[in-house]
Amino acid sequence: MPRYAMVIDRQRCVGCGSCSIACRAENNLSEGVYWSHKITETSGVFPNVRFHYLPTLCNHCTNAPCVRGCPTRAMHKLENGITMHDPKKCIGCRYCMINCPYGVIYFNWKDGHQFWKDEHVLIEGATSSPAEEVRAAGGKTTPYYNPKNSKAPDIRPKGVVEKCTFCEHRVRKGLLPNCVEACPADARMFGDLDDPQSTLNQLLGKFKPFRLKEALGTDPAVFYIRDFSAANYPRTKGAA
Amino acid sequence: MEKIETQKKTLTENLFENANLSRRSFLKVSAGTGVTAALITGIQPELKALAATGASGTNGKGQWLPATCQGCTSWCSKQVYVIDGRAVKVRGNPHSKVNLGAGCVRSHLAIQQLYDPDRIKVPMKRTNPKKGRNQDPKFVPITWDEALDTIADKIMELRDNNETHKYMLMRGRYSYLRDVLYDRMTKIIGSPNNISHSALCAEAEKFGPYYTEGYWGYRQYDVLKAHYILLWGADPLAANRQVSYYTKVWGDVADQATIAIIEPRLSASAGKADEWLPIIPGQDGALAAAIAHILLVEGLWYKPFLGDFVDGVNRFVPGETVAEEAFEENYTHGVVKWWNLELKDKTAEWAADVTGLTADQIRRVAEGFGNAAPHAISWVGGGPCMQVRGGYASMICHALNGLVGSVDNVGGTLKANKEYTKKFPKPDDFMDEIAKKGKKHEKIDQRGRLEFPSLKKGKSGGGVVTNNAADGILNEDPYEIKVAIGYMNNFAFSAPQPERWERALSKIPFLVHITTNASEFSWFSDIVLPDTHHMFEKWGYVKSIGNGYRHVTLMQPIVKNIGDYKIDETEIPWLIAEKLAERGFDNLLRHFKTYKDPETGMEPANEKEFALYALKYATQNLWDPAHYKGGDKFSGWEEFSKVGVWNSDPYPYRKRWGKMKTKTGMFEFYSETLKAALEKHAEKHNTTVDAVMEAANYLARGEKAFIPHYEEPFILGDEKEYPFVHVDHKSRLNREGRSANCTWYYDFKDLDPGEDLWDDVAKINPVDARKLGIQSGDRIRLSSVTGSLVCTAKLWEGVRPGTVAKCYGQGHWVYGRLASKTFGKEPRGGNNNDIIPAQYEALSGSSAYYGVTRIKIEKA
Amino acid sequence: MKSKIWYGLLAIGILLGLWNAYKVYSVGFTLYAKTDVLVWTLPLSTYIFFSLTSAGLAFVSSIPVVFGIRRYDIIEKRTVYLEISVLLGSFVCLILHLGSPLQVIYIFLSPNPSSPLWWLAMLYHVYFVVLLLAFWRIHTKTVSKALGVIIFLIAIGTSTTLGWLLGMTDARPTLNASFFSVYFPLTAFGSGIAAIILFSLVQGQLSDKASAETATELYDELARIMGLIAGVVLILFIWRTIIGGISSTAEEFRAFKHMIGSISYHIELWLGLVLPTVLMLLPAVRKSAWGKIAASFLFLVGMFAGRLEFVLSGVIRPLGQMAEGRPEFVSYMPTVYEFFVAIAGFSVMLLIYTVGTKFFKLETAPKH
Repeated sequence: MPRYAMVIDRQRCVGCGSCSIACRAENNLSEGVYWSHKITETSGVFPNVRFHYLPTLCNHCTNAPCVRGCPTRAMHKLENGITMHDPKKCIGCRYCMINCPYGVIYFNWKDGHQFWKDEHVLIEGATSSPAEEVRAAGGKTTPYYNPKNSKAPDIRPKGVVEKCTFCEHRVRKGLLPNCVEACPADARMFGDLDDPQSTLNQLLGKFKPFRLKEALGTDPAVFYIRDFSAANYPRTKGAA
Repeated sequence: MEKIETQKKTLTENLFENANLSRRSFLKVSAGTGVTAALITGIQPELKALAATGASGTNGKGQWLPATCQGCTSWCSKQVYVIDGRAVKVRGNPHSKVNLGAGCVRSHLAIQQLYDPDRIKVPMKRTNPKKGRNQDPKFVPITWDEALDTIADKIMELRDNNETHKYMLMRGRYSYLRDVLYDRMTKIIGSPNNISHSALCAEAEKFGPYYTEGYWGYRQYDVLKAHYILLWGADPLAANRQVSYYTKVWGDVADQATIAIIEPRLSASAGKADEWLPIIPGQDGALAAAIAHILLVEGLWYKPFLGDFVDGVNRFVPGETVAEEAFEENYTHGVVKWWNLELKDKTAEWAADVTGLTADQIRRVAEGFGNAAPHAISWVGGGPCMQVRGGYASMICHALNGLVGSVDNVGGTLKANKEYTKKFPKPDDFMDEIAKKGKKHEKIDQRGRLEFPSLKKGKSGGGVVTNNAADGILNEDPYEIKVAIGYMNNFAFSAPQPERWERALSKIPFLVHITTNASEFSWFSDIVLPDTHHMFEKWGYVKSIGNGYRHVTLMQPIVKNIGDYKIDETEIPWLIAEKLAERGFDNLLRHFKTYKDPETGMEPANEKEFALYALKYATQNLWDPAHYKGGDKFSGWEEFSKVGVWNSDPYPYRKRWGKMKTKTGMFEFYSETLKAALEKHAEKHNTTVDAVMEAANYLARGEKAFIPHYEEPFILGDEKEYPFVHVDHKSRLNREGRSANCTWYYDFKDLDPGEDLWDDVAKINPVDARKLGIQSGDRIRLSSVTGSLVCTAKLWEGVRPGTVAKCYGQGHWVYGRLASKTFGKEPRGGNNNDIIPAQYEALSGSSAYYGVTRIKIEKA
Repeated sequence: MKSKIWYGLLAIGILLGLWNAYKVYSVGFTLYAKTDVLVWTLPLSTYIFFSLTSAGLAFVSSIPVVFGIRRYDIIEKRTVYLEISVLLGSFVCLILHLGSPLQVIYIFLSPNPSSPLWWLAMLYHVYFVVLLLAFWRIHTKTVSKALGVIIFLIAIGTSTTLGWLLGMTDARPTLNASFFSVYFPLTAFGSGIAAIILFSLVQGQLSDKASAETATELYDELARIMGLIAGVVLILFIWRTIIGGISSTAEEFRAFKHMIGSISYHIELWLGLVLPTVLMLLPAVRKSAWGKIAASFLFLVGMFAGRLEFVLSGVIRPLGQMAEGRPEFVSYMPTVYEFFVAIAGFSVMLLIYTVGTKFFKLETAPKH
C-alpha cells in the first residue's frame, strides 16, 4: 500500500492559483470553499517589498487531529495515507475545524452552488436564468458539473464539512490529483513516500523540506521545498 | 436544419475518437532534446498512469478535445474535457511546443463564460427607439431571419444611395478567419471603415522594435537561455503573452537569470523578481537612457554585434561627443549619433532624480544587464509604450537589446517563426463600382492626418486609431456613419473615456452588435446577435509564438450549443451575404463561394460548410501533406483537427543580423526607417517633421526625432488638484474584461497581489493614505479631469507613493447579473477607463492607458 | 394570570426555537454569524453553559445522596429535576448547533473512542436516562444511592471531558486543557449552586409560602459556598489572564489577549466573579433572600458570558489558510437567530421546570 504525499516547489510556483480553480472544477466546489488555497504575504516597506505565496491544501496528516476528534469516524484515514471524509456519517459538529491547525476544512452553511439555483432571467426571452442554464447544458447543480464516479457524493450537502481528498477518486484510477495535473509550473509533485526512488523522495533528499506547523506533531504529508522568491542580492557585509 | 445537425454530430464524433492518437503524438513531442524534454517530464507520471489504467480520461465517459483559449493574447492551445457535449474542464494542449501542455488560471474561467446564464441565446432587437446610457433599450427576442433581413435591408439602402462608405465594421477579439467579415465583406459592400481594436491593445509596443529592427509584432523571449531579464511594465506571469509558457519555465529561469521588473506597482512577476524598480510612471525612457549610457561608458556593449572603436579605446566618456568615424559598427547603425544626440549626459545620477530610483540600483541593473550580454533581454511590455509619449520609450527600451546583441540571438529577443497559413481569395473581382468608389473615402478614425501619423510598418496612416473613431462618428468628420456592425468588441467599456463612445454609438442610426453578452456596446445597438464562444463553439485559428516556436492552434465547435449562437466571422457574414443576394446584390455570396473545401473542391452550400471550408482553406498548407512547407506534418485535415495545433520549426538564431527589414538592414539606433516614415508623413501634409512632432505631442525636434530618446511624460491634470498618478494594470483572471460575470473571478480575485475578494480596490501606499485619513475598506472616489469612479481603498506597500494602482476589469454596468450591480444601471466596482482620458500615442495611433492622467482621491 | 403570561412567554421562546430550526434547515446555517472561521459561537457556548450547570447540579444533588449530608435532602428533588430541565435546555442548543443532527446515530454505528466528543455524547445519553430514572425513584419511592453515584461520576466525566475536548486542540492552546479540566468542574459546581439557590428562592418569593427555617440556613450555607467558589474561580481566572494573556509570548495566545478587552470577558470578571464574591462576603446581603438571588443570578450571567468568551477565544483568530484575506481577529456579533437558539434553550428549560414545580412537589424531601 503506497503512502501518498505531495511536494510543492515554491520556486516553480508563480502563485497563479490554477490549482485552486482546477480543484473547484474537479470537485464541484461551491463559491467560498477552497480545498486548495494559499497563504500570501506582502513583506517589507516600500520600496523594499515582495509578495510571497504559499499554496495550501489538506496536509493529510499521518497524525491527523481532525480524525482523532471526529466522534463518528466520518473523518478517517485510508491505508494509503489519505484523510477522507464521509458526509453520510458527519453530524456537522465542526469539531474537526476546531482541531485542524491548518484551516483547510469547510462547513457547508448552505446547500452548494446557490448561484445556479436562481430562476431570475435578465432579458426575458433572450437570456436564461442560472437554473435554466444548468438544465439546458445537461449538468447537475452546475452546468459544468464533473461526475467523479466515486463512492463519495459529487456535491456535499448542507450541514456537513468537506475538504481536500488528494483527489482520491482520481488517484484510485492511477491519475494525479487535479491540482497537480493543472499546475502549469509543475510546482506540485505527487507520489509514494514508501517508494525510495520516487520523485518525492529524491526531492526530499536533495532539499531541506519544511511542513506547516511541524511542532504540533501532526506529521503532514505535504512538503514544501525552496522559496517563492529566488532573488539574489548585492554582496556586502552589512554596515556597522 | 436536421442535416446540419447530423453533420455537426459526425464532426464531434470524429473528435471523440482521438484518444490514442493524442498520446502517441505527445510522446513524439517529448522526444525532443534539452530543456523541452526536461520540462515535459513533469507531466509524464500522469501519462504513465493513463497508460497503466488504459483509461483515456478521468472516467472514460468524456474526452479531451482540442481548443484554443483567447482569454488573453497568449492564444494558447488547450484541451477541453467534454462529456456528452458538455464542457467540464480545461487544460493545456500537450501537443503545443509554445505552451508545452501548461494551462493557466484564467483559462478555467472560460467554462463559466461558456455557461453564463446571461449570454444572449437568440437575436434581439431594441424596441425603445431612444438611445442613451439611461435609455433601457427594451430588447425583445427575434428570429435570425428577421435580424438578418433588417441588416440586409439597411446595407442595401446604403448601396442604393451610393453611400456605402457610411457602413462601418468594428472588430474586437478575432481569429484569423477575421478577414471574411472584417476585410472582405467591408470591401465588397464598399466601405473603407473596417476599424479594429488593435490600437487599444498594444500597437505602441511594436513601434520600438519596428523602427529599430524592422519587426512590427510582439516578440518572444528566449528566457531559458537568458542570464538577465529586464522587464518594462510587463507581467508575464499574470497578464499577457505566453503566460502559460513563462509560468511553466519561470522557476528554472530564476535559477539562471537575474530578473528585474520596472513597474510602479509590485506586479505578480515583481513578486518573484531579483530587482523591483518601482519607477515614477512615465519615466521609463530616462531609465533606459541611463542604462544605455552606462553600457557604453563601461564598455559593456556586445562587440560581435555592435562593433567597436577602430583603435579599441572606449571614447564614450560622460558629457563628451564622439567622432562618428572612430567607431566601426557591425550589425547596427548610428550608435555614435545616438550617444552624441541623446546618451552622453544621461548618467545614473541624472536618471535617479527623474525616475525616483537610486543611482546604485540603476548602475547595478545596468551592469548586470551588460555583463550578461548577449544573453540579456530587454523585454518591452505595454507599460512604458502605451503612453502619450510612449513611442520613443518603446524604441529606447528596445534599443538596449541592440547594445547587448540579444536581438535575434540565443537567450535574447526573437521575432515570430515562419508559418504557412494562406490568405483568402482576393475581393477585388467582386467589388463593383459602388464598392470601389466607397472604399476610397477617408477612414472614420482619421488615421494619417497630421496629428495621427499612425505609422504602422512605416506607412502614414498605416495603423488604426481605434479610440478616435468615436470622435469621427460624433463630429461626422469625415462623414456620418449610418450602419455599423461590431463584433466581440466593447468600446463603450474598453476604450478610454468611454462616455464618448456612448454618445457616438447612440448617434449611429443602425447599429448591430455580435456578442456573447449584452454589453455596454450592445446597450446602444438596434440588433444584438448571439455569438459563439471562441473556445468551444467556433471554427477558427490563431497564431502565437513562444519557446522559440510558433503554433497555429484551432478553434472548433466541440460542445452542444445551448443557445442559437452563430459564428461571428464566418457564419454570420455568409447569412448576410445570402440575404444580400436575395436582394439582388450577390457579389459577397459569390465571393464566399470561392472558399472551396480543399479536400473535395466543393463550394460551400450553407453557413456551416462555409465556416469549416474557410478554415480548411486558410490552413491547408499546414495539414495537407501535398502542400507541406515546414513544421509539424500531418496526414490530413482529420489528424490536424484532432491534434488541434501545428508547430513551426525551431527558431533560427542570428539569421537576421545584417538583414533586418530596416532601411539600412541593420539594427538602427539612428532610425533611417523612422526618418523616412516621418518625412513621408510630413510631405503628405506639406510640412516639416518638427511640425509633425508638435502635432503628435512630442517634444523632440530635429534629428532627435529619429533616435530612441527620453521624452518627459505627458500627464493630464494639475498636480495640486490631482496629486496622484493613476497606474492601470490587468488581472491574471481577466479574460480581456469579459470575465466579470463569472463567480470564480470574484472568488479568486486576491490571486492578484494586493487585491481583495468580491471587491474592486484602488491600491494606495499607506504613507499617502495616512495623509488623507483613508483606511482599507473605505469607499473612495477617484477622479481625473475626464471622469470618476467609485471603488474601495486598499492600503498596500506594493505601490509607489504618489501613485494609485487600480486593476482593470470591473465596473461593468451591464454585461450580466454579477458584472453589474444593477443590470443597466449601476456598475459593480469602477471602470478604469472612466478616469483615463482619450489620449493617444499618435505615431502608432495607440490609446494611452498608462502614465496618462493624474487623479484625486476623495471619500465616497 | 401571572402564570398565563409566563407560559405565554415560554411558548413564544419555544416557537422562536422552532422557527429557527425551520429556517436553519431550509435556508442554511448562514443565518448564524456565518464565517468559515467562527464555527462555534453562541449556540455552542449556551450549550456548554447548560451542560456545565447541569453537571454542577449533579454535584449539588450528590451532597446528600453520595456524601450523606442529610440536611441537603430538602433540595434534592428540586436539584435533580432542575438538572433534567437544564440538560434538556442544553440538548436544544446542541441540536440547533449541529449541522446534521439526524446523523448523530453514527455515534453508535461508527464509534470513535479516541474522540472526547464521542465520550461526551455517550455520557450524555447515559446521563439523561439515569437522571430520569433517579428522579422517578425520588418521586415515587426512595432515593437510589447507586444512581446517585453514577450521576456524580458522569458529572465529573462530562465537566472534565469538556476540558479534554477543547484541550486536545493543540492548534488552539488558549483552550488550555489542564486548566479547563479543573476550571470547568469548579465553575460547574458554582453554577449548580447558583442555579438551585436562584430557582428555589425565586420560587419561594413567588409562591408566598414562608420558607422553612432550616431551608433558610441551608441556602445561607449554599450562598457561602457559592461565594467561596466565586472567589476561588476569580483567583484562577486572574491567573489565566496573567499566564495566557500577559506573560505568554506564544502568538496563539494573542486570541485570548484580544478577548481580555471584550464585553464577555468583563461580564464574566466583574458581574460573574467579583460582584458575587463581594456580595457574599457581606453578611447582611448574604442573609437576605434578594441578596442571594442577585448574587446567584449574577454568577450565572457571568458564567454564561464566560462560556462565550472561552469559545470565542478559541475561534476568533483564524488559523492557517483561513487567515487569508482576513484580519488577525474576526469580530463577532451574534445574529438574531443565534439569540433565538439561546432563548429556545432557556424557554425549554424553564417550561419543563415550571411544569415540574406544578406537578411534582419539588420542595418535598425524598425518603432514603
